[in-house]
Parts: sequence; C-alpha cells; structure tokens
Amino acid sequence: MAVKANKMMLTRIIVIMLSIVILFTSISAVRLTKIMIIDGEKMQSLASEQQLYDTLVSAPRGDIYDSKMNLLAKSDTAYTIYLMPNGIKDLTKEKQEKVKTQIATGFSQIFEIDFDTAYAYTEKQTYYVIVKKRVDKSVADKVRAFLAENSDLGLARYVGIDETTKRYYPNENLASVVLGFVGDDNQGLSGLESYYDSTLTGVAGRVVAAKNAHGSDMPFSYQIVEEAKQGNSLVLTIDSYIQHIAEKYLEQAVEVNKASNRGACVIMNVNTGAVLGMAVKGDFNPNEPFVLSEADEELLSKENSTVTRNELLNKQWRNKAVSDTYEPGSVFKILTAAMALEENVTKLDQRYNCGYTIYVAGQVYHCHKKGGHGSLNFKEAMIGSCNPVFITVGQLLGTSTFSKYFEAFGFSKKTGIDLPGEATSVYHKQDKMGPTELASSSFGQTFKITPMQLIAAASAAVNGGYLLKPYVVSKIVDNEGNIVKSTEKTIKRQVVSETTSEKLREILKAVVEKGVKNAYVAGYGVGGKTGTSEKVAEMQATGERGLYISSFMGFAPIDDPEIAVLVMIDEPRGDTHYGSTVAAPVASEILSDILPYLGYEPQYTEEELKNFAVKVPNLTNKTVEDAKKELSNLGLTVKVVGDGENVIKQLPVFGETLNKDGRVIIYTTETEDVDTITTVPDFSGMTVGEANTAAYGAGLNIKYSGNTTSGSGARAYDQDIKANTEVTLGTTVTIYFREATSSD
Amino acid sequence: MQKKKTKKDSSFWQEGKLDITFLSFVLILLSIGLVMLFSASYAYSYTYFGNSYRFIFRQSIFAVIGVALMLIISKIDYHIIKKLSWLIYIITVGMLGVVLILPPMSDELNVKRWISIGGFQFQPSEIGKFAIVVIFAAWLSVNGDKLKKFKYVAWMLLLLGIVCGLVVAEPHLSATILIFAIGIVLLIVGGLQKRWIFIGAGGGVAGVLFIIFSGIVSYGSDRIQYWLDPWADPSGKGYQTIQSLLAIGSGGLLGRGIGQSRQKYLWVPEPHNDFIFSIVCEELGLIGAMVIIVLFCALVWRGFTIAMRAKDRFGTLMAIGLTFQVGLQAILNILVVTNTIPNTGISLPFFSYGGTALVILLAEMGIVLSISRTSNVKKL
Repeated sequence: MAVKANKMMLTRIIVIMLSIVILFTSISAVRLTKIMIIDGEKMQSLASEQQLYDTLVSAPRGDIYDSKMNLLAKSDTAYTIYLMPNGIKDLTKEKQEKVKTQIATGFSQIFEIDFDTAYAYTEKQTYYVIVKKRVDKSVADKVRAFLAENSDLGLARYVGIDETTKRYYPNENLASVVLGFVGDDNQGLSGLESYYDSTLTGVAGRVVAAKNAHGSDMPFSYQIVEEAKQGNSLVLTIDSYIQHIAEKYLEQAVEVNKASNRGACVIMNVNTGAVLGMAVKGDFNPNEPFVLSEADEELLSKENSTVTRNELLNKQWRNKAVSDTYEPGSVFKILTAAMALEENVTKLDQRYNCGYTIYVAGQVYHCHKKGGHGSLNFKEAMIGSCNPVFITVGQLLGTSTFSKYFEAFGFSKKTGIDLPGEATSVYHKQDKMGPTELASSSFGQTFKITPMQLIAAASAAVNGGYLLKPYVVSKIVDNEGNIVKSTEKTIKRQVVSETTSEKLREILKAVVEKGVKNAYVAGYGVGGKTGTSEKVAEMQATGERGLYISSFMGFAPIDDPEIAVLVMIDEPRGDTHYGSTVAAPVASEILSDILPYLGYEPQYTEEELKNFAVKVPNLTNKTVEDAKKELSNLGLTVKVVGDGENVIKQLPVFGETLNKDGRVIIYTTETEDVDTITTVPDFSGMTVGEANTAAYGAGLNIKYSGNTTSGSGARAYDQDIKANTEVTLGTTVTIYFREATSSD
Repeated sequence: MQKKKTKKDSSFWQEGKLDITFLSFVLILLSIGLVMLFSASYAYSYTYFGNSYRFIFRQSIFAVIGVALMLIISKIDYHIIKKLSWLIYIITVGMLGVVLILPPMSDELNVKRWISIGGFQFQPSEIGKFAIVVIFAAWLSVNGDKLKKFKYVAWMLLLLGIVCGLVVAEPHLSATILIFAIGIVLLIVGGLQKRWIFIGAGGGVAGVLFIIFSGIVSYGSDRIQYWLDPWADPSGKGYQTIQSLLAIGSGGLLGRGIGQSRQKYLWVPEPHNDFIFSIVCEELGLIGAMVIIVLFCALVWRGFTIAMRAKDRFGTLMAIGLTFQVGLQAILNILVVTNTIPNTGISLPFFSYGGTALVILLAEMGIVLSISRTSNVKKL
C-alpha cells in the first residue's frame, strides 16, 4: 500500500542534502570570514566612526579674585540649545511639516528671531545644529517648557539643551584691560584670561558615547565618561578699591583734559613689584567686549571716518600700560639722575648754569624755561626739570655708561609681567648712539618704552636700587582653595646703591614740595617727577601740532616709599598739556584716597591743620539752641530753616566732613520750600578763596580736592556736581584744584 | 506492533514516538532566535514604541502558540493533508489572487503581499510554499512514474507556474525563487528523469542570464547595481547593505557579546526583521554565527533523514519539501545579509520577527515531526 521511497529517490535526497549542507557552510564560512576577519578592522572602524560621538564636556573655568578675595570674574552656568534636523526626516511628510512648523514657531518666540530663520534650522541636512549658544537658565527653562507643552509631537527628540558655562564680570569695566575677556567657547582672548588661559581652563572632560542613527544617546548605550577638572582660580595683587580709585580719577582726567588717545595709570608696590592697580581709560565692559563706547560709535558713524570698528575694538581692549610704548620725557630724568649720582658724575649741590641753550655736536637744545634757569644746583635742576643740566650730565656719563644703566634698569627687555602683549622698547643701541642721541635720551626723548618698564625702573631708583619683576597674579588656587602656586617677589638685580636711592628720594620729595605742588597730598610726603613729551613722530606723520603725553611718576611715602603711581595721559587737548597740570593732580587724588585706605596715618603740618575738616555731629531731636552751640564749638556756622524748636533734619548729614567755616543747615519743620533749593555755581578757574565765597553765597558746602596749598596759584578745574544743577541748601560740592604752572 | 499500526492507519491521530533530535534542533534554533530577536529589537522597539519589550513579547506569545500547535500537529496523521491537497492548493491560489486585488497594506506602493484575517496579518506566499509542498508531495507520491511523459512534467510545471506567477506579480521575488526551488527539488526527488534535470538546469541558467542582462525585472536590476557597489549610495539605496556589513564586520571572531551590538541602535534598519543575522554576527562573532549555520544544517540533515525513513513517499516528499524550505530560506537570508547575493527581502526562519510566519513555520515543523512518528528511526 504505502510505497516507500526507492533507491533513486534516496540517492537524490542525499545529494541534495549534502549540497545544501556543503554549500551553506562553505559559502557562509567564506563570506563571513571575509567580512568579519579579513575586513573586520575596517568595518569596525567604519562602524565606530558613525556610532561614536566624542563630546567634550567643558570644565568650569576658574574664577579671578582681587587681593582681598573679591570676585572679579566667574563662570555661571549657561545653556546651549541645539536641534537634530535629521531625526525629523524619519517621520511621514505630513508629520514632518507639523514638527518643523511647531519648532520654528517656538524658537521664533523664545529666541526672538523671525520664523523663516528658525524654520531654516529644521531644514538643515545635518544631525546636529546649534541654535543658540550661552543662554541663561530662564531661556533654557522656556525651551524646556516649550518641549513639555509639545510632548505629543515628541519635540524633545529633536531639540536638546546642553549645559555649558558663561563668563561673568560682576564689576563690569573695573580692571577690564587687565582681566581681558573670553570668546564664545570660553577661551581667553585678551588680558589675564588669555595669559592664564590654560590655568583657568582646567581639563575638559569627555563623553564617548555610542549614539543611535538619530544622533541621540540610547538610555542603555555604551558610554565612557572622563570627568572634567575645574580650572584653577587666580588671586590678583590688584586691590579692587585701589583699582576703582585709579580708574575714577584717570577717567576724570581723560575727560577733563579731552585726551584723544586714552590714559593709563599703574599703581605698584615699590618693594615687591606687585601691581595694586592698573587702569586704562577708555576701556570696555568685558561682559560685552564687542560693544564700543558711545564716543567711539560716534567716531565710527562720521562720514569721513578713517577708522574701522575692528581698530576701535582692538584699541579699547589694549592694555596701554603694557602694550603701548611712548617717549617718557622728563620723567626719565629720575633714571638719568640715578645713573649720574651712582657714577658720581654729579652731586646734589653741584652747581650748573642754564643759559637756555646748549650745543651738543653742533645740535642746539633748549631749556623749556624761556631765558634759562641761570645758576642752579643739581637738585634745583630736577625741580626745574632743566634740560641743559641733564644733557650736560648725560654727556659726562657717556654712551657706554648710559647704555649700561639703560639696560640695567630693564629698558632693553620686557619686564616679564604676567600679562599678554607686552611691547618691546625702541631705543638707541650703544654702538648706534652718538652725542646727540645721548643728549636727547638724557631727558627722555627719542626712545620709546612701556609705562610698565618705566614704573619698574623708577621704583628701583627709589627702593634701594632693586629692579623687580612686576606681577599681577599673586596666587593660583584650585577649586578647594588650596594654593597651587604663589608668586614670590623677584629681584632681577641691584642697579644703584642704597645711598644713591636715598639721594633720589630727597630730590623727588623736593620736586613735589617746591615744584610740582599739584602732586601734593596733605598729611603725606609724596615725591615724584613730571614729564611732558612731544609726540614728534606722530606730529610729523599727521601734520597735527601740539600732541603731547603728559605723565607723572610719583612715590609715597617718599621717605620710605611703598607705593609707586604712574599716570600718563595721551594727547590731552584741553586748556593745558603739562605733566604737572594734567597728570600730577590725578596722582595726588589717587594717593590721598589710597594712602589712608592702606593704613598710613596722615601727619599734618600746622598749616594743613588750619584747613582740617570737621565731622558733622548728629543734631537730630536736639533743640535749636543746643545745635547752634555744638556747631559753633566746632567752628561751623549754622542756618536754621523753619521756626520749630527741635531739629528734625540736617544737611550735611551726620558723619560727613566739612571744612572749617563750613555751614550746616538745620530744618525744624518739614518743608520743601523753594528757598531750600539752590543752584550750583560754576567754580572753574576760581582760587580756593573765591570758591569759598561763591559756595557760601549759594548756601553750599565745599570740599577741596587736589592742590590747595596756600600761596600757590591753584585754580579750580573740575567739580563733582555740575554747574547749574539744582540741589538742596547745604549740599557738599567737591571742587578739584590744580596749580596752573607751566613747568613740564 | 506492525499490526497495531496498520490498524490505526485510518485514524485521525498518529501513533509512534516523534524524533526528539529534530524537535531539539527546532527548539534550540527557536530559543536562540528569540534571545537574538530580543537583543536586536529592543533599541528599535524603545525608540519607536517607547517600550523595549514590544517585539519580544509578541514574538514569545506566537512562539508558545506555535510550539503548542507543532506538538499537536505532530500527533495528527499527516495523511489528512494528502486528502486535502487540492483544496489547499485551490484556496492558496485564491488567496494569492485576492491579495493582488486588495489595496496594499504596507507603506510601499504597488507591493501587495499581506492579507489580514481576523486581525492576523500574514503573507499568502508563506502558504504558497506550503501548498506547493503539499500538492507536489501528494501528486508525486502516487504518480512519480508518470514523470517520464512530458505532459505530466508540464502539468506539474503549470501547477508550480500558477503559484509562482501570482507571487512574482505581488511582486515578491524571494518567495517566488523559494517556491520555484521547492517545486524543482520535489520534482527531482519525486523521480524527474535525468535529461529533464539537465535541460531544466540549462534553461534555468539561460533564464537567469536573460533576466540579468535584459533588465526586464526593473525593480531587481536597481538592487543588483547597489549589490555590486553599495558604497555608491551609502545613505540611500546602499544604506541597508552597508549597515549590515558594518554590523557583521564589527563582530570579529568572538563578537561583542550578547546585547552588545551597537549597530542595532537604529543603524541597521529594522534589525529585528530580515537583517537580524547581521546583529547576530556582531554580538556572537564568527564562531557564534557558524554555530547557528551548523544548527540549520543539522536541522536539514535530520529532516532529510526523517524523509528517507518515512514509511511512504508522501511522507518522504513532505518532509523533504518542508525541511528544504527552511534550509534554503536560511541560506538565502544569510547570503543577502552578507551581500553575497542581491537584497531580495527574505526572513531568517526562527529568528526574524513575524508572529504568523513563525506559527506557520512551527506548524510545518509539526508535520515533519508527525512524519517522524511513522519512520523507522530508532526511538529513544
């Protein structure tokens, strides 16, 4: 019945079976070996190329602190918003359109861009595109909320938020040229941010992740994480208060003197080289480094403007104190004097005769004083800033000795300060220096150095002869506060002896006492030297006349100097252009603020005490009689407003200081009457006495600032409340005085 | 014994012990298949369905149903199929016709492969393979000797041609090739004369060459172009092949380990379907892949052994047809996945996702087991 398979069938079955087995195993083995073993490495690397995404996790950038650990720069969390357009392509046409439109609508609202721009992101042929970098948490939260609202469309699959950091400078412009700023990827682009970039940056972490074809991590995918290591922080030698004071008065000077090429001010510890303040005006806000000042914008918008935006940006970022060179002018006489005294080619009381002109190798040089100084000793030559005397002394030194000291004072090399872009000086090499080059060099012309080089050299001249390496960063600390590195005072060499240094201090003290009274600070001994250098090359190049750099190099306390202040104002175009009238008052204002701050007790002379300020007592709730008595005991006058019995308000308020003879207004009734309002007069050009009278007449109190030494020809040049402002009676107006000398 | 068996011939139930070896191979392949399906599908499943277990859950349920069905069928006397052979053939041809009329179910336009009955979707071409096995086994077991006459050969080819023609019209090239190959193998085993074999082989080669060079099958020739050089369009037509090769190549000798495939993260499109073997290679390496290939060969060997020892020609031919179908499909799948032949869209038995297909496959394995109960294979 049932017929079984015959032999032929069985044979054929076996043949077929064997062919299947042999074909299957052999072909598979050959093919798989080829792909998996022979081509294996190539396939694997191709696969890895598409699967593995190496994502850098930026390390939090280190902070920057001032010497009192006040924050100057820090990194805040910010967010990067990105889109994965390729993921959208997997959807159906209809859904794609929905998703794209929804994303574009959301983006245009959140980022305030137009719809088409936003839509263009969704059309990109890529799996990853950054929509917006460095947005704050509020924006990131908006994006998150938007994604949550649209969870039905699954937008979270195509829009991502990455955490990054954003640099923040809480004090805005303060020390901006020193701090510098960072770029889009938090890389330091200028200043300390650039110089210490690797220290601040830390070590970026990495996430090597296998991602799927849509470009996103799978929740259970393979991943290697290398933790990011936070960057170290910088602690500066700069003190925010000193920096603030320096910037305040420098800015005022740049404005009042209409300086067209900015100004710089460096404050340094004479004995350590630590920079306590370094100001440049105009500067910029490192939070918005690409924003120009209004004045610059105006300059740029002028029709025939020859400058470009980039030039102006580079200028505002430039640290004038370090990156610009200038001819120091008469300030350099400090160094010529130091050389001459050290080499004994002169003595303090060595007598000279200045006959207005002096000839060197057939070239005539003039003293700035018409008719010359006549007979004077070396000390007086410094006070009078007499060029012929310094030319004479220079010739006595000779080119080789001059050059030796020039190099010894560090003018031939960069100071090595820890700031980027330090400029190289331009000067006459000894073998190229003849008598005329020596003559002009003796009073600081025909060579160019940086302000930083000058303050370092001049400090050496007065600190006992030690040339120091200036520095800005005192400590590098890690994120746990451990000190990684601290800067020690670095003495490069001793250039002159302690004896010479002492003589120089004496000379420089005399210069301020007898000559540059605008640098005088009541209660404190200040020494220094002014300089007014002609910008000869610039004037020749532009055909413009009257381009000067006015500078002052000061030290305090001069008997045992600790603070060096260098002020230089580039191209003042105001009423005056002398170092003594433009730069010296700035140093005086700065020193009178920072010396008490640094703990120096003032020691007033009797004359100074006469003008000494009085602290206004608290009169509130006292009877009018008691108040009057108390004030007259202090030497103050009184004006009573209203007919009440008790004082309910006073001006100036309790704790303010007033000059002797100042007036206190006491109010006995609540009143806002017209007669309590007064107009601030224009004090400019007044002497101290005239200003006093004018203030009394207007019912104002005044505070003097700057040079008010009696008998000097000091005149008011600025006031803190502008003329014609309406203020309450008794308000205190600060008036700045300077002597209108013509000495350089 | 012999007496008792004869007595039971007309019974619905099948006596005798089933072949444990064949059953073991089926269950081993099924188990490995399920594990690999889970591994290959979970990233895809998570991305598109928010749930990693969707595919393995469904496939497991079908596997349980399939295994139960397989064991039940193994107890049924397979001769019932012989009686129903013409009915099966006619119903199949009917369904293959209907599928061409119904609107397409998949996204691809002009591709009509699926039918839905009571919520279950299946491909009538799967039934087509079975119908050819049944009708050929039934006819040849009785009329094998008639093959000496050409008109009977032509008759057989007509039966085969109708099914192949309907399937190729879907179009479903790989299924057509499979069905055609099954028919030819059954003809050869069933007693086709040598000269017809040689003539057929010659004609076949000529036909293949004609198809390749004439460009008649346009949807195939494109595939051939990107088969020869998939890197010509790496993000388009060559994408699937390249991703498959990268997965296989990443496996190396020992593989990345189970669950460690990276290519399954949406790189290989639909890694749970036709290209599951590339993920198997990536995770299990050359050695693992060869073990699976050897398991398929072992299944073929055991199935053919059952066929040779079947008590009648119907059993022999049925077992050959069903086993050959599994073996050939596995070969073709692996050849496609390794880009040895052009991509034709063919799934890997026991591995690829597809509930209905798995149930049908296991049911067919049940028939082979039913035949094994009658064979004089030594019982355990």
